[in-house]
Amino acid sequence: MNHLSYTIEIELRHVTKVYGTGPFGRSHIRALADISIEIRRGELFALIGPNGAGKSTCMKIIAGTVHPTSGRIRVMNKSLNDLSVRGQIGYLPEQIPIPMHMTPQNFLYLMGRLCGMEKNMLSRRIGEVTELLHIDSWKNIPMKKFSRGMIQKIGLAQAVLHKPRILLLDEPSEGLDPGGRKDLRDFLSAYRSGGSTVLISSHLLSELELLADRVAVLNKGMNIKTGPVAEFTDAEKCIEIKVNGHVPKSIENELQSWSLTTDGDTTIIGIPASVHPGQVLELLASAGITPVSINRMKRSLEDAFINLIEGKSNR
Amino acid sequence: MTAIYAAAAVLILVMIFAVHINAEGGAIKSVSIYGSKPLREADLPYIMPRFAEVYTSMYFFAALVLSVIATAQIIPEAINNRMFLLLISRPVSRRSIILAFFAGAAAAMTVVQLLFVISIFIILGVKTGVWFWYLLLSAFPLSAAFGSLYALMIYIGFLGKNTGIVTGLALGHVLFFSHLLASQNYNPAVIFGHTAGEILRTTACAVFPAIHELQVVTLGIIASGTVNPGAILFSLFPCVIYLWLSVRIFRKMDM
Repeated sequence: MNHLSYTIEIELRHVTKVYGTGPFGRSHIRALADISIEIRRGELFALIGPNGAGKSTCMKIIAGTVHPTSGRIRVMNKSLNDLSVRGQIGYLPEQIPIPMHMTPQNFLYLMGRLCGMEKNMLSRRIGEVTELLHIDSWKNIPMKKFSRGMIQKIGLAQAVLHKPRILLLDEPSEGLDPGGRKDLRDFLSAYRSGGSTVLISSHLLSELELLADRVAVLNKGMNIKTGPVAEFTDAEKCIEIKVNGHVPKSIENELQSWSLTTDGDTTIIGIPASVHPGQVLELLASAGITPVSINRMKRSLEDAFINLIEGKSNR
Repeated sequence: MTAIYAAAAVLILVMIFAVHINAEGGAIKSVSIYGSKPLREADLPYIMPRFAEVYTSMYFFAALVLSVIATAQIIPEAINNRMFLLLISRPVSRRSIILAFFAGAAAAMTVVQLLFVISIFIILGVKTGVWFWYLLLSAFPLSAAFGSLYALMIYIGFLGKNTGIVTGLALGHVLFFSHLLASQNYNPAVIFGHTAGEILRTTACAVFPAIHELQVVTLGIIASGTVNPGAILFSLFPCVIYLWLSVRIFRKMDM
């Protein structure tokens, strides 16, 4: 996608958020520190970071539930004070607060009416969404009997009920079993294909690696890096050479300059992709060792994330 | 809510059994409250006001106390269980949310209070054969009193975010502070001089829900059917102030 062919759907410019805590708000916690992010229309953008990095705060600011201390936020090129903007946003907060005494039917009806949906259309839409999320048989049962995963599906249902143009999902996989996570992946892929913009934060980086177009890494309220997923995973490809048993001490010192790990009876040598494996193979041959396998490895998003956060290179 | 209904039922039973009314020929001959000396025919010119006073004191404050207990947790719980988070993420203004919370609770309590008043009306009518139609009109100042009080409770709810604080302050105002403001024994004129004292008293009555004043209005309605609409409207002024303050604080809150 070239620079001129996309529309900025969500824009944060130098946004800072400081929470006041303690008696009379005398203590301060800086949740976001001068972050700037652009999210393009139609993309699935992931926010990743350790706990307390500011992901949820960032989402809440875009959803309009938290006021930034400073900075500018534009959604669809409008201010968040414009109620029509909030009508185009679907928000699934972390640990969604559900009134447990209500049934999904009643709760979704209330949420839909608050978005200005008409009664006839709303009833039809509730049926569509509950069927899509496989909770239609539970529509008229009080939610106090629901599991954590089903509550999460109700949360997702209320977020997409009014077919918003922008979907904000804060830890949507929380509480979902593997089947539920797959359903969520399929759901998001289908939802995004309709041209909607999705902003998602999750600790399940393997899931995000499959879904996201671009990723922003936050740490201690700051944006460490933003870019396409490939930029994170392709940056440091490496070559992995496996040999049976241990390498002799005569060559071990030379191999230590790269990555040398042991996994049971197997020794794994990891070298950067920029280095020709021939050097290592010659070294091994001089010690009479034949490699079992040679593979070109792609770094996972998780590895890239850990490297970024911990600031050290890995294999 | 079960506890509230049970408490209301207990109060009604007390009123049935603890207040003895002797009525003949369509008029009250004597009234006595449990253990007290009965007011007899010789006191007839005074029975109605005393009777009205006893009953307004009992049911007016009972209805307010029950209404406070029933509604004190609404705002703190909506904040602490994050229900507001879902509401403000919708295309609904924060002002509308506050007004809706206020209108909903006030309407619900108005219905409860009306049922309470109707129950007392029926009990008295059956017990004495005298039907106090003016009693039904007393639901208006009672609703105004609760409306004004609930606006204050919403504001306290946003400040304190705690049901206990809301309950304590609201009940403290109903049972103590509002009478202190109106009491002749508390006279700011002594400290600040007559004019300043009256200004202070009037300002306090305009700023704090005028529970005592509305009780007096209720008393007048029951005793003689006289309605003071000006007093009822004036009592709504604190309601407007606290709703405005609540909207201001809610607009700035992070959820």
